[in-house]
Amino acid sequence: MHHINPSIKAGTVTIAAIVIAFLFDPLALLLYIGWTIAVTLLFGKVQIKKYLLYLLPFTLFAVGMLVSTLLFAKTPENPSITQQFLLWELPRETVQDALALAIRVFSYSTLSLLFVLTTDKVAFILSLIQQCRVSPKLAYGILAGYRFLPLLKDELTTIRSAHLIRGAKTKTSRFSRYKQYTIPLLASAIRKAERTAIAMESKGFTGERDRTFYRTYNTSWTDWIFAAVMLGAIALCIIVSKSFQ
Amino acid sequence: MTQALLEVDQLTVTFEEESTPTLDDLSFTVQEGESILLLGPSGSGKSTLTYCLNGLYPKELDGKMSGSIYFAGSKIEDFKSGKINLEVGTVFQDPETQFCMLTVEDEIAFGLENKKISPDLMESEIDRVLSLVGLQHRKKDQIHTLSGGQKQKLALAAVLALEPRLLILDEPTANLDPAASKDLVETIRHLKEEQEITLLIIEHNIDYWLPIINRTMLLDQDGSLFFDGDLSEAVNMYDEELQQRGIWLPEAALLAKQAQLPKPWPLTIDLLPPDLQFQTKTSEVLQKKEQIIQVENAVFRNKEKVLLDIPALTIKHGEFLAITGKNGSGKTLLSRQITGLLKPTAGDIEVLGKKLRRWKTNELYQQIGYVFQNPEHQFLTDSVWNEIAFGQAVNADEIQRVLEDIQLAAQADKHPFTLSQGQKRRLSVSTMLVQKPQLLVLDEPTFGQDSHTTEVLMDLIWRHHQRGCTIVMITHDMELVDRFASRVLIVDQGRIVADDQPAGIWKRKDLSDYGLSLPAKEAYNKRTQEDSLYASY
Amino acid sequence: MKNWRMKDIVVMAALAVVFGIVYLLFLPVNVVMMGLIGPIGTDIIFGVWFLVSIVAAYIIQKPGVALVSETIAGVVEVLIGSSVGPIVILSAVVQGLGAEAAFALTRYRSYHVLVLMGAGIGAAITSFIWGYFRGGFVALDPSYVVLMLVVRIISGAVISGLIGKAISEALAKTGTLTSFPLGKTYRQRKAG
Repeated sequence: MHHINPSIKAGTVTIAAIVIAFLFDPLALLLYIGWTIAVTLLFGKVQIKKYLLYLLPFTLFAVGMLVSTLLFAKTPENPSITQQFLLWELPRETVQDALALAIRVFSYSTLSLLFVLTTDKVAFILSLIQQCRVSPKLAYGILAGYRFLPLLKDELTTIRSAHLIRGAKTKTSRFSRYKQYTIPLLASAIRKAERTAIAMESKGFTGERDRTFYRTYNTSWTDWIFAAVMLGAIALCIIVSKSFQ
Repeated sequence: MTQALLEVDQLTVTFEEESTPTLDDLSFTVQEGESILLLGPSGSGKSTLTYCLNGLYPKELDGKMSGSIYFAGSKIEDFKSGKINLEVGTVFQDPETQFCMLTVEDEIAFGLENKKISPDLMESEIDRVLSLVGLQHRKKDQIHTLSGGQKQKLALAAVLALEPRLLILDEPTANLDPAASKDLVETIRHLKEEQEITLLIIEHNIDYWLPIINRTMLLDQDGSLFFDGDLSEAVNMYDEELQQRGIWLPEAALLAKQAQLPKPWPLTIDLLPPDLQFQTKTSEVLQKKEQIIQVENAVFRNKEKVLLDIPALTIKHGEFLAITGKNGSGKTLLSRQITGLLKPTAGDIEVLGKKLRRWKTNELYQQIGYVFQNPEHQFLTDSVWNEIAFGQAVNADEIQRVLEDIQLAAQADKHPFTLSQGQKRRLSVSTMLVQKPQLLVLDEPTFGQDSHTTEVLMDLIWRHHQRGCTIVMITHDMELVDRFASRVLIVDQGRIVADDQPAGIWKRKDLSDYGLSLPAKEAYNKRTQEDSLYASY
Repeated sequence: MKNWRMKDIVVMAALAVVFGIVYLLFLPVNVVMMGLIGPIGTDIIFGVWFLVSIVAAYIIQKPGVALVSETIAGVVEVLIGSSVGPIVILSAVVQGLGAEAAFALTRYRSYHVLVLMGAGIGAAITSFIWGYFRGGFVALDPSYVVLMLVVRIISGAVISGLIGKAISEALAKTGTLTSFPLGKTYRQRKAG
């Protein structure tokens, strides 16, 4: 799984997510979720514990989605047909819609995790240049900016302490404190960015496409088989689900 | 005569927003193989010159540029985009902003890719430059795990991979501690032995570079060149001018000046004559008995790793305590613990006789102040005036007086971020001092500052100390420790390994283990003692 | 993109990282709001998503900046790893298109506060259409859906438009934008 070309993997996951957006069959979705999780765990060599940890926030989100859809659902066409849902008696249509929606959100999450947990980030960006013709100027610019993440996080902590010492907590409102954190952080980020851009150009970077690559990413037939299998599985899940109903 | 490697002819640069030029009618030539030190006060256009030489200007310049620059006989603007950067390499001052990749090898490969080197040759080239700077063992590592000094070496390696003929070092040690600075200079000295390379070193610290340079240029405040020749001549002819412009004279020359030796002054301590007498510090503050900080068995852990372990530490009223040690040894961590900014994992810390957790935050920070390394982090308002006025019950006259005291009255309406480095530093220290704290902690307040700002700052801190404010100062500067501190802590790997008066510290034989060196005066005394020892044999 | 400077792009990426951090700070708020008042809770602060687009466009003032900066923010989200995977890039493109449209309508001549608010509204609308299909708003009560849209539009106008403008101008005051159009305008205004 880690060896699948990152661009193809990203493309596959995205297309699958779009297809799913038009799928309202809860059973088919559940089957596909099972399939995605199985692929991630078996072929991605991801530890189950780690996987569950990552999945937790998404699960909470899906539950939130379920509850809110139940509460704010549209008026059902046949309100008389009801169904027992946990403790409540609710219109069947509403329950089905809500479940489908929650399951859908959940299936996005499993697709995302398939990508996130098995893909090297730098590889993804470099592959975007090599396979998707993304401009090197853009791709390396993004990497350069991404490097600031830990620096800026630390800086935010320091700024908070530094403001605390000056008595900002008792002397200013919460809103102006947000501003007092954000502006220095942005100012620092912009200065860092300018200096980094200069350093990159000083190493002969022009942003042109014409360059060699230390790490090359290719596409092979296994990548395309992966894409075909992942997308084909959606159709299979629909068929299996239909045969049950 | 052979063709000059670089020829700068009447170069003048004026920024859009400025009325006077930043670089004014600069002309000089550089021959292959030279090692030039370019000294200039902050704001003299040193970095602007760098950008002109590596072809970034006029492309990125908002302003006017006239005159011409020839590299190996061709005009710089005639080089194809990106090509001049393969001939003129630059290492910049900030170790954090010179990379765009995540790992060491990828970063070096980035330059090789720009040069369109065949991928088959890259691996060996990466190994070559990494071994030149002594980083071969970090090849596969993430850049963010490197120390500041290692990052600068990586920046150097990445530039060397392009095989430039001229290497510009734009204040490469400005963000490094003394030990890492010396190490970097040693790496460059070694490099010069290995291969033919021309160096243009832009710096404000002369001492480090003494073993390397063979020519010196001095830039003036107005961006014009006022000296070009031998360093010894520069120091002896222009010592007053250099000091006025905030440039640090070599330690040996400073000692010679203090001892009122006739010129010419030597540049290294070895060359000073024996039997010089120096004034010793006499101003010892009366030590009151009460303690201001009391630490008992404080431990700070991150996950399982012990980052700080302080069985006992007492700081008393009226002390001037210096905390020193290598970068990453835990100095800052210690200072954050005693000020309650970071809670210890275990143990007790008392401030003014009251446990830290019993203090209300706002009451605590009326009693103690903390000056952070980066002054910008501490600014809260959008004008210099408001910074001083913030939250204080002080009247306009007093604010005016404070601003005059730190020489910022003319900047009262400016945004604090638009001040110069030295001005920002003075302002940030002042915002703490107006609160009249009983204890002031300063995290490397003079780091990277020119000699002028250092003097103004230390004077300010010292005056408050004399009025009874207890000072805790983290610093690498042994000259300051020698001049001001009443007590010194050396921190190493999260532990206090030495706690003594400066005189006691200077007697230790293990200072270099902690990245420290003797102040010039002590180094001189030590040398003359050794000499007389030899003489008596 | 030919006439973009390298620093334009790195600055956009850096802005994306900062707003990424800000967004992470908002995440708990988001969850609480969602729990209290349903999906509309997310709409209230949805404008935070487009901030980067409006701030970058206002600072750099070149065609395409609103779209590309939002896209970069999407990619950065993927790199940070805490997000919804590569699909977020597509969502970002959709939002960016909405914001870009407002600037394109003025032919990139005006960065008036109304244009900035318009960009926030544009992003709100396109993102809502996208969310309608992806998030299955079909299943919700239509009046609730309309309310969601209205709230999101207000959020886009206020949070991304007005607050985005305030942030950019506060930044100009710090002198960090001197080599960008917004910094230059600020300097001229101050001088003149």
